[in-house]
Amino acid sequence: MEIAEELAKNQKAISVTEFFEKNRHLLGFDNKQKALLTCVKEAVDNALDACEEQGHMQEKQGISPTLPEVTVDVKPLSDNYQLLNEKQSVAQLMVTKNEISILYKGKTLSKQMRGGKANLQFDDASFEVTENNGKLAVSMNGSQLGMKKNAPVFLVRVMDNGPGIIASKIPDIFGRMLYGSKFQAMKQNRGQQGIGIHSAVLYSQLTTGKPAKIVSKIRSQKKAKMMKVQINILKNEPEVLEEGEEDYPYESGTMIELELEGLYVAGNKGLDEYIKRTSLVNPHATIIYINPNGEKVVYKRITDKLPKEPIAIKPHPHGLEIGIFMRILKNSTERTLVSALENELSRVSRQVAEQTIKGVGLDPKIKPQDVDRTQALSILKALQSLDLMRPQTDCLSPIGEEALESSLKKEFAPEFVKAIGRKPEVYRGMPFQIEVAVAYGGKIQGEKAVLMRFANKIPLLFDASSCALTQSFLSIDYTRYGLKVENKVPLGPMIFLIHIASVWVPYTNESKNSVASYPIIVKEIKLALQEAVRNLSVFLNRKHRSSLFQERINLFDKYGIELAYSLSKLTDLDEEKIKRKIAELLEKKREEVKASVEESLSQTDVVSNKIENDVSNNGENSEE
Amino acid sequence: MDVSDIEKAKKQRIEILEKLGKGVYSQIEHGENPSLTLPTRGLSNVKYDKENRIITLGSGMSKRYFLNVGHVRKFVQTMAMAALSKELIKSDKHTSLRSAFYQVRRTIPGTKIDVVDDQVETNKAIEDLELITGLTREQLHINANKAGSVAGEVVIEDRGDVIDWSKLGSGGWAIPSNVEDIIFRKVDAKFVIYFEKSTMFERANEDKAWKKLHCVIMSSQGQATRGIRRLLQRLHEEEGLPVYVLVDFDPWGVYIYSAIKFGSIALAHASDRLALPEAKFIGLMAKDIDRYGLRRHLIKFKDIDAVRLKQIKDYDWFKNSKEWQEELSRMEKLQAKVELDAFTAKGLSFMTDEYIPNKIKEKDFLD
Repeated sequence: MEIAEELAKNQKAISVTEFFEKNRHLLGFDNKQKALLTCVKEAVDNALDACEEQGHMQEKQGISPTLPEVTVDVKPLSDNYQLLNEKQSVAQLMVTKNEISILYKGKTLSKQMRGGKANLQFDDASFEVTENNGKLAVSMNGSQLGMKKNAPVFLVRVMDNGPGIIASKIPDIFGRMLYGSKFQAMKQNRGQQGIGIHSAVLYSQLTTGKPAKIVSKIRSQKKAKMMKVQINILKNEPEVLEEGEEDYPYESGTMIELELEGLYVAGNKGLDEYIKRTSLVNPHATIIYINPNGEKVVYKRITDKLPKEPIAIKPHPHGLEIGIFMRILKNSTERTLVSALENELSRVSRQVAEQTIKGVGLDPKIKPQDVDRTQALSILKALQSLDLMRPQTDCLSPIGEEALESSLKKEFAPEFVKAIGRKPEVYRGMPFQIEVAVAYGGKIQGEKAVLMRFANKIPLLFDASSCALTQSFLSIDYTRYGLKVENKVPLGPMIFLIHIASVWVPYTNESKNSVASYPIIVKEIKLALQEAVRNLSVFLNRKHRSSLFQERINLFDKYGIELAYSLSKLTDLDEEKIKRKIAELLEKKREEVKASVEESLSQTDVVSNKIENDVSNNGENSEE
Repeated sequence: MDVSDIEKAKKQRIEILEKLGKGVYSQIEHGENPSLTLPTRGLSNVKYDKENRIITLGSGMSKRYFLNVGHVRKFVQTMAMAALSKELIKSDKHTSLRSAFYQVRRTIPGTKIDVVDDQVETNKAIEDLELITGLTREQLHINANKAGSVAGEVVIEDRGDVIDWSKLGSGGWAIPSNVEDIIFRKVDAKFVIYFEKSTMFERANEDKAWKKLHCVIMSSQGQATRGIRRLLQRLHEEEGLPVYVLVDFDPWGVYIYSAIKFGSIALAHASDRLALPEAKFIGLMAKDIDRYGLRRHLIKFKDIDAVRLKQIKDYDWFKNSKEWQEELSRMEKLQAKVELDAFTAKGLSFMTDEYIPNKIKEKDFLD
């Protein structure tokens, strides 16, 4: 083999893991809390995607689909210490109830403590762990080590009832970076960059030295296949450390177990919130969640209807990047360049293909593999300058207005809920679709509106400020709809939910928590929000009106008390007697009073009238 | 007025207030929506009585109902004020507008509603009560703040105290809001001058101009208060003193004169007790600007000045006066004003030594 090629191979392997090390923050592993969440998220995304794919295939075969059931179990395993020799970290100690483990040079050894002592023998070092009055001490080759407490270690277990994975594919899927069928598909999926689950496996390996345990059962097998997989960092290759067979609670499905350092914090950026929000936008899935405190929460499915199947489409020239275009040409099975353009791309007719190729001075009949980068670039530029038809948009799988509303109803029992689904649109050749929902009152608490962001049915919990969803949310003038506002955020017990579905969500970075601000995306979100808020506003005005009505009716009782006081002073009559007389009067004049209040409301309620008119116009006019 | 008269008048006023309460109670007892009837206020219901040359309230009446969302609060406030006033008269105590606000400012038991939130509300309630009962604020034992000074060779008696207006130093006598019970003991003056500005009063008082000119000098800051207007009226009617008004050359000055002479729009209902149709305007006039070389002290009109001038020119009581229309047109043409203070540029005593004697000698008035 060529030396250069050999080097190149190495370079690639190093670059992938180095990329991870250097870009932990981009991948969502920059702090322990986020890391725990990211790992759970990757596993859950995969589980739901697999379950849905299975369901859609079953539907095609005329079988009633198996609906997703995903179990997420996060257990704190052990305390975790960094072992220090003259401030240099040399190893890691993990302590559970029964066992202590030491991670040293990528290898983990475990032992039970006996008589307050345990010895762990590595190739070139020996560790002694002692316990005295509940205090641990560690020495390495006889010299005492310093100890620094780390984030605890968690066992993350995610189990689904999806189709399962063929045994031979397991190592690659979980143990090789950038492997996956999704990487090139133009299809709305949860995972999209193909970095997902492998980075979780790598992260767990780097923090605890433990391999990922995969158990997967396919229908035709009686038992599930068990594999412990780790990534060979240098070669970017999976290594299977252990294999076996296990029972599986479903007919088919996959379970992954990861041990990793993490931090569990309850609250709106934590795991609990992530699971809750995931269930919110996946009403067809049952999610069983056991949190680190051992509490089990079951989010039951509220619909038996599987979401529409997302259809893979071919890339549209307007959204194509040169790298991907080159790969398409390289991998094409077409014999000529002209048929490659016609058949591998969306909305490029044979005539357009031929004219374009000739236009850049090439022969349409050459093999697609013979096009070099410069030529490819001129073809792509030429295609992008054309006014091509927009890509088909039926490839998207939105959540659906009805499903969103029933989800919110189930979770929050709100007084008001409204979901708005926009028609599909296109940014840079990529179809996308916006859905928005707003819910008010009920179990929703808090004085300020909460924004829940979703992309392809995944909750986005971090990087809110750089996200197009947040920015669009904050760009609406809610005061125009009669809402009170603080720092641009409407006040009141309400939830805003924004979902973007796309064959390719334009995340601002690899941690996939923030959507880039393409003008057309922002515009679509704003239009949807405006419509939703108009509806909310009408509801709130009615509500306000009826409470105002009651308030004004009560006004007379209240002022009656004062009138009785003044009258008794003026007339020297008994105050209580006057009060009774006033009460009698109010009783007698009840209808008259109601009419007067009604009239006063219709005079002052100009704002609500204005908004109701707005709605009847179905005002598509935007605010700019 | 002797003591029994005062007691009788007090009893009468208490009866008026009691009758008001009983009327409302009887409406309640009969299952009727309690209502109060009062003359409508504001320019729309103000008329200029040409014969008597005063502004009066028109015949427009409005009703205020208890069972009406828009009225209920005012209704209750007016009744609260009536109850307070009755207590005050009964116990022979007076209160100020500000204190009256605090005296009725209470939270309705078992609610979060305060009877009044702002003094503006009590002030309005008092004015309404005046309209309903036909009694003045002072008769209801509610006084405005002292805001005005007087000096001159006059001796009065106020609540048993004898006061000599010529022996009160630089400040003069502070005019109370209620001057009804003042008795003039000795009046040694030929006329009264009312200055728009207290600075001018202080200047004249320092020179003892009242001695030189043999007059009474008086001022407040800007618009003349009720106490001042009533005092001017009494000095004119009871002591036969002509009243001269000296104000800045601008629309606001003209309106100060107008309120003293014809009565004000806001207090049209009290014109017969406050207006002084015989009052004379002695300046500043447009012609004085050149006569006294004040041209270099002209201050350009602001928009609001021009607007106000238009309004004033359009009031009935100025519309029918040819000389006033001409004077106001001259002001309109100039689009500028002159302050009284400009006289000091000609010497500190110029106004009292030259200007005023000239005006009176030449009878150079506007009516």
